[in-house]
Amino acid sequence: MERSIENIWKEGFESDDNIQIPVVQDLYRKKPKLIIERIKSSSRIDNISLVPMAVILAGVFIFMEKPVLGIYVGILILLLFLLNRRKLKQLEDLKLSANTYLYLTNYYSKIKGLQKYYTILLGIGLPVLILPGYYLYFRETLVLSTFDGMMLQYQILVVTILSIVLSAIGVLSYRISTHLIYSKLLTRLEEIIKDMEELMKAN
Amino acid sequence: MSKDFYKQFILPYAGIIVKICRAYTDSEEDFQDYYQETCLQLWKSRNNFKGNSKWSTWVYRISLNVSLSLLRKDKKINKNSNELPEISGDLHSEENPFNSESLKLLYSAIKKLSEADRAIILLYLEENSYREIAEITGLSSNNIGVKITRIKKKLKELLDGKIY
Repeated sequence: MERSIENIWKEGFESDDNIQIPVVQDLYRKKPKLIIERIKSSSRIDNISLVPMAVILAGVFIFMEKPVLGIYVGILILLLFLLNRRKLKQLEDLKLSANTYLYLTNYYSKIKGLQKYYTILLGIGLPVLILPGYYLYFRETLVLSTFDGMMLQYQILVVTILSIVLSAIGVLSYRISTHLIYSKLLTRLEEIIKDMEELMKAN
Repeated sequence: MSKDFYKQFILPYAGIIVKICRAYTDSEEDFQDYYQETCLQLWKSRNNFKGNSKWSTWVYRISLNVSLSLLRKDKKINKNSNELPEISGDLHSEENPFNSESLKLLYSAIKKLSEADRAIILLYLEENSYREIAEITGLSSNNIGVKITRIKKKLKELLDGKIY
């Protein structure tokens, strides 16, 4: 005789074997994976976009009859692309281990470490690398001859102000672009870590 | 989440959460994520529970809301990544954790129902009254009886001759 669905349900769950209650600890697997994948893919796209940018800027400067400057800028951006790739590889090498919480906190602190690294790099590196670019752009022009005619202390003042402005632009533009691309994902990552910490307290 | 809250307000009702999460997931990984998210939402929403209904009713409501919301998100992700899971016509083929063969088949059949019908039949099988089902699902209690009859008929067709 065919059994009713009510009986199948009732009898099926009479045995506790059919209700295996998961331990609420380190259960999150899929959600973190999806967010990490999105961070990875955004970083890859973000980095790859440097290649056409290098080509376009080099082309623009060559078109403006500043080939040395074009090559210089192109090489600088390509170097940044290679550096990013190396740094991203370190993140990709982090494998989702048995403990998702540790993996996420590790991943999060690495990302924060990278952000700090790039903030310092752009803050210091941008003026150091862009000032020769200015030299290449303005050489044999009135701007550079005026600069050459200045007193040394004024020259130092101009270079210092320019360096500070470039440093500020570098840090600011990095922060803005990072905020636009990653802030939502990083906030979600923070929320998951917080959620997991909440859940771990239950065990 | 405090241990006390978990022991007092979640653990005794974990069976409800397990049964609902199983009905909306096809893999162990998804099931565990859904279960964890439900526990978390119960903890987060604890201050919204005014005590006008039973705590178990609240657990049903939160469990269903979480499962439906995660299911929709999963569907959206699958749609975007063009990785739609294959729908098998064979009730035996799905990943299922139950020891009882009949229960496995019943769950597989339930999973073939629409999201709303799944919620209604789960609440019915858990012996909630029509009034409680209406309260949890937000449907009119007059319609619940008709809907249950229709869903049971559909389940019977899906299980036709497979369970004795």
